[in-house]
Amino acid sequence: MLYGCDHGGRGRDVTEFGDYFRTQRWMNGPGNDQPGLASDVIKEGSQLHHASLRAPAHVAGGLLRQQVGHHVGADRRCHVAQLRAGQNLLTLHGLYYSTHGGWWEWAPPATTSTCRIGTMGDFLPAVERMSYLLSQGVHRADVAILYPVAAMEAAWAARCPLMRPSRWGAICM
Amino acid sequence: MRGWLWNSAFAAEFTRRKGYDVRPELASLFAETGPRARQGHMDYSDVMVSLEEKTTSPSL
Repeated sequence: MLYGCDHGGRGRDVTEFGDYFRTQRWMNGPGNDQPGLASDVIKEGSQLHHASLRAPAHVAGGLLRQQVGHHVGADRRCHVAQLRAGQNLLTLHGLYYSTHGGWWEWAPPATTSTCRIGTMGDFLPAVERMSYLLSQGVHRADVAILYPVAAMEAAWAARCPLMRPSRWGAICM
Repeated sequence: MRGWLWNSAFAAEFTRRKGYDVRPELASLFAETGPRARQGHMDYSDVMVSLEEKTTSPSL
């Protein structure tokens, strides 16, 4: 399974890569790493999943890796918002550990160094139930993807009054 | 995958795909350098993502 990870700004900058969706369209699990406790970037992954017409919805969808250092309570609030935005598959950050070249020190299978999966209470069963429910049926949407790349690139020039520098280049806001 | 990626093969691959040398255009990745800047920027992104697609999906 190919799953999405940290593609630059994770879709927040629509001009990055020229077309952010191209970086993930061949993946079984489009999605991204969880940037802190934000819940505003999962939409790109879920949009790509719905638009790709992949039948086994439980395979793909908004894929999210839980980051090391988070507490379960904060993650729970974050995940509720992400489920509403279309996430239907969760992988803990420790997925790295099971991948080729992964190692435990980089990706312990828990959210913190002291919080093992076994101490996460009903969090994982709750996510499992919601992910199952949200992967059932046929998704119907009037608009599959709303991603104004061309409109943003049209304003992409030094004269753009809304342009600001970023770590990776320039972003028009 | 992030940032302005580069390796020893990128310039040749860029020339093969786009038909011109990217190296004089590299400044356009960081600043507005003229009317060609936007095209150079977009061509760079296109080649970078194309190579990423080729790596992750060798059948393409």
